[in-house]
Amino acid sequence: MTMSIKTYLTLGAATAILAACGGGTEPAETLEADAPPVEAEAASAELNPALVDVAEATYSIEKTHAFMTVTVGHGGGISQYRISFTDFDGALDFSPADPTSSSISFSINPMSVETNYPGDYKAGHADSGFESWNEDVSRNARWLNADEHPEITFVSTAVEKTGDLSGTVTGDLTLLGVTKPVTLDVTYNGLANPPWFGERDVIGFDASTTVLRSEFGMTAAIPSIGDEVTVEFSGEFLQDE
Amino acid sequence: MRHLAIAASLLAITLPAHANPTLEGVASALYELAKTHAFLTWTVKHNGISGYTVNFTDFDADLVFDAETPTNSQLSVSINPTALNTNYPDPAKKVDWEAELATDPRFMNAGEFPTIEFVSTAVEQTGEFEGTVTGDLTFLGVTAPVTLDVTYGGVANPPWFGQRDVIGFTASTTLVRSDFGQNSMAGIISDEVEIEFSGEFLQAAE
Repeated sequence: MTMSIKTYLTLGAATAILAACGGGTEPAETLEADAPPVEAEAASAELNPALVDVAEATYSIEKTHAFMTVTVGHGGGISQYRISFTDFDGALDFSPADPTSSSISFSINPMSVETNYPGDYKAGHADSGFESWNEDVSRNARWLNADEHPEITFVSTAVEKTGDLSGTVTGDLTLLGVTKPVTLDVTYNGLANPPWFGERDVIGFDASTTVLRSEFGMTAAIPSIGDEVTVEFSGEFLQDE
Repeated sequence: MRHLAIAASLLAITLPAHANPTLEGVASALYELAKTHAFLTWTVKHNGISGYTVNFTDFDADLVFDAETPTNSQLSVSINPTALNTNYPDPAKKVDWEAELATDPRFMNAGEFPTIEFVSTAVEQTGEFEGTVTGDLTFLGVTAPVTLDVTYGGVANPPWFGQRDVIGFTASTTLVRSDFGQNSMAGIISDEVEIEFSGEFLQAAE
């Protein structure tokens, strides 16, 4: 995929690209000369500029720039309790020309719960059979029951466009052995081409959805801990080699 | 009438005294952060295409809460800038990356500036349970005013805290890090930093 320097500049990473081009000494004409061929521009005339130079390809999660959090009401909803998953992967078949033909699959390791619990969990929870609150949330049969269900998966079944750079991704979420359809609200944030990835494109997305955990059989502590779980993702996908 | 009275008393038992959020019956008092139910994150845009979110894992806050006149309330927050969780996927690199974020002069520079502080100066009410809290944020040795958008989430009374009230809030603001002298990696990391808090405050013991 030919990288459009012009687009990269538009996307606001001017500093990085100028540094990559030799400290900003390259004249602007040289940058323009790297623009995609005319036929490519014509073919993508209807595309949003943020999609024009993006490779139709398979992408995988760029794990150092990907965040997935789960928030749930606590204390009857007076505050939001926030948990991150720190080990998950995703494969995205992305079609910039027709995003609705894209597909994605996600896999989350339920053992990778991060609650940021402060202090000594064992000191205050001597009766717990778990070493940490993270482990309790991961392995307790009341929560993610990871020993029995070692994977949470999402496989898309339909993509719809709701705006120029936004849409919905519907798919099958498998959690605690139960598979149910879930719809994500997704925003495409654009393309980056950091020099260390060569010609490979990096594209960014935000996604969110709300699921009812009781539908997957997790009913512990409702309503003190909310049934409604908000899942949020922001991160980058790197074009496969 | 007798049946009605019984029905009314049964209702009073079954239903909560009032729907949450409510300020009715909430103690006007000093509250301390309930650290096991408190989350503070900062998010910057990375390369303009994704949000990079980091948790502060060691922070404290005191709230003098006036339930009758919330605008009389006062908040002070202290954050340990070395207590960061980036959720970086490689465990060894995670340690290095968090140490770099904490101590590098390009980032938190915690060796020179070991605390981040916020002290409220004015509270305004914008809705029944919403308001703004303006205060002085001291970060990297620079003190500048910041305004938080705050929502009151309600009161809880878990039995293990006896008569002490627990009240919940969410708060958010957007800072401009260059206002505090941090300009590193401009163009790759956004100048705007979104700060988000959700958590609970426990009425201080008598």
